[in-house]
Amino acid sequence: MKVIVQKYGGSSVADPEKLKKIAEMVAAVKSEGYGIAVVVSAMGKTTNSLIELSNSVSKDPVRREMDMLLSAGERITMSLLCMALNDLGVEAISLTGSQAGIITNDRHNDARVIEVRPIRVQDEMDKGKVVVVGGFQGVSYKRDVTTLGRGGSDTSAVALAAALNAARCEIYSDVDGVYTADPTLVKEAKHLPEISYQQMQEMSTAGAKVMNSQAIQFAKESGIIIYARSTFKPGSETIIKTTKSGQTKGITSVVHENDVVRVILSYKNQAKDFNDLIKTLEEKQVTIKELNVAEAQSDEINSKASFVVSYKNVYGWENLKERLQERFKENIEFDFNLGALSIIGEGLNRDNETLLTSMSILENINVKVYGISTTSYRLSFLVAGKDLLKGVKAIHKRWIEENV
Amino acid sequence: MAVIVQKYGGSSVADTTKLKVIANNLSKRIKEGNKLVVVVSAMGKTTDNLIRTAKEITENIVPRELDMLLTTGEQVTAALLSIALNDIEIKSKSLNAFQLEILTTNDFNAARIRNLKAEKLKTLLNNFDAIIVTGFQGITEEGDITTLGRGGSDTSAVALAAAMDANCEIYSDVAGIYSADPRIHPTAKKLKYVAYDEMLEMSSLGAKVLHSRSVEIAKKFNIKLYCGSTFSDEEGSYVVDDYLEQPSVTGVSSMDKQTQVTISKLPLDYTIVHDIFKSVANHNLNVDMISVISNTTLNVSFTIIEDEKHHFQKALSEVLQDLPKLNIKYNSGYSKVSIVGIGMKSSSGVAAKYFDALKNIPVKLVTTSEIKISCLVEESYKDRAIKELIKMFEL
Repeated sequence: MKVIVQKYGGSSVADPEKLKKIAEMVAAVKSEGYGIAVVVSAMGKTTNSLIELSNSVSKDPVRREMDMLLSAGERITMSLLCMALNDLGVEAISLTGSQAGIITNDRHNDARVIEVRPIRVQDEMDKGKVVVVGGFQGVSYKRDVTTLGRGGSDTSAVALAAALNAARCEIYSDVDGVYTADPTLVKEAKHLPEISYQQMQEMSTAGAKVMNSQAIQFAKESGIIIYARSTFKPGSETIIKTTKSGQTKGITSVVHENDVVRVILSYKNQAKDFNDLIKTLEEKQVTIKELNVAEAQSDEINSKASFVVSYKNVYGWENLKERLQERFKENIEFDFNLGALSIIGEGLNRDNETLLTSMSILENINVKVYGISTTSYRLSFLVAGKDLLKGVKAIHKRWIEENV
Repeated sequence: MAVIVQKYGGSSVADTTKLKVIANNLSKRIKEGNKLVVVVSAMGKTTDNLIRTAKEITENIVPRELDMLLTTGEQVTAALLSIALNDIEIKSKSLNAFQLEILTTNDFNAARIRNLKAEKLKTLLNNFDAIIVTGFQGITEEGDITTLGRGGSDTSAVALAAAMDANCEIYSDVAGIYSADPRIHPTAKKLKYVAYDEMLEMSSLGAKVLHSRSVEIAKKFNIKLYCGSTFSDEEGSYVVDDYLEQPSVTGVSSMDKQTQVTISKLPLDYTIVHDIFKSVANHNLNVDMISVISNTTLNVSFTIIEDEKHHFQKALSEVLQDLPKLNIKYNSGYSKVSIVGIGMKSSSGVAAKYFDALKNIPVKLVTTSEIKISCLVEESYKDRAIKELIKMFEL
């Protein structure tokens, strides 16, 4: 039996009416003879409401309990979807991440999938049932409930697809795939019918919300082809798969990320200060990006380290910030109101032309650049948050719209 | 180290402000040297809201999926309370039925606890001061989530107390157990002690203070139960095996939505009576007050819960299809009013006083046990009947 794994995001499952429509879609695929596992996110704003509840009892909620709290969201969706499927005469069974065998490490709120043992999923599928799995959640070897971080339902879906040796993984959301820029903000953005794992992963890392980067990593490792589609507007899609090298050239997309903060630490004693800072952040499981350390060679001047954090994804960020300020006093700076603008493509640092041209574009529209980092697939600029969209539009115009 | 099991009901945990107050109360108990196992219900109207959402999808809800849905309610409360406790530096951890391995039968929506291991809790209490447990839920041997039926969190709490050999405290928005429902009869007295048997009768007769299965377990394992108010220091009530001063009547309770089923003029053949009740049992239906009168024909009458009328019609039509001319009447809109007291066993004249109190009220059916007398009256007479009984027995 050929297996298809489908995933439906939060806006696709926002209310009972939408769930009924999805049930019909699933039933249609099922009637074609496929085995189906459906991975669902929490309904609409459920996760945000739960986070708000936790904030009203604690400024710095314990991570293990946050996972216990948030994982309730997907359980609500999956049981309701099963009810809708059963109502259509399609036998269905819901399984939590734990029941589906999604085993993770114990890094709560941002757990990594270590292994998927889909024994129960396989059993139920063999009985002819549609299996609905709660996305975003897993279980640690300590039997604690874990969650996989933002966009983690994508990871659940792809990891499950790999473990079930699925023919494909279909990711449904309110967008019909991947665009050259965020189509809700840049109306000139073009739809990409196809993109490589590598570039998709760069886009995700740079802040594109369309797909989670660990999910792409899984797909790449196991060769699962991902079809990104719109739930309620069928027709077009983006296929994410291996493309032959040399097939894609130049710049494919412009990605941005709001709400990043740059942290700058000035210090004399690396072991005492810098290491301590990184350790504190690690304890709080804060992912840091674009780390740059400039160690001074003489005691006369301070060493400097800087990095950026997407602080909107960190539970209890305010509390953590206050603690760091108390600990490091005037030696730590938080540069808020920043945004990151990234150009994704191939061979971007082969020469400096893309960099130079991009900088002059930004300069011409008075967008000040506060930081640059490059890899061969990505050029990133830190700019003021208020300038971010203006920058994205100008860069997109030059590299995508005019670059035919 | 004393371990105490506590349970907080839905209205006590209705919002995060209340959860913070509870967290502070727990913290005080912990500082007195106790270790706590705290069982929580879903917040406020959560369960009702989830059921309403499910009904928007289908009227024909799969029981297994309903349990998967409803058990999220307690998980939210447990996680939030544990977050609130950690916020005030109390070491706590929330556990669901899966993690605690509360094994139940696989009767979804109305499962019964078969086994639960105290070892895990005991080990955890070495490292934590409070373990927050999701009430109302268990798991089957296959690892599916079940619920214990309405009020099942009481059962979770008492079962945990039995496993831990601990006292059990049940907190709600009512300060204890009263001789009558204090919301309707404000003169009702709070009872300091209530015997298990009395409480069992009162629970099954409609007093909503405790789930009757929780009292059964408490009785079986001799667990001292305390029922008190979450947000006041007022002393509550104790449910115990026995107590010294036993009035002949301890309390009066009532249950609405009763329907009387009357099957008259049956042939004088008791196998028919057997068949009727066998069919009812096969449909998993409960009958309550039963009366069978025989002279030249048989008249069978019993009470059922109004909501189950439809199921009874089906069950009875199956067994009585060979007797098409039979007259089956369903009279709805009745209440059952009962007095309960273990002192009744050793006092005489209770029945006389009972009927004296109800002399001006039309009574449809009466049943008695060693420690209770129940009667069926029209709902409109209920409050009057209770008032007369309160006066007569000084409740």
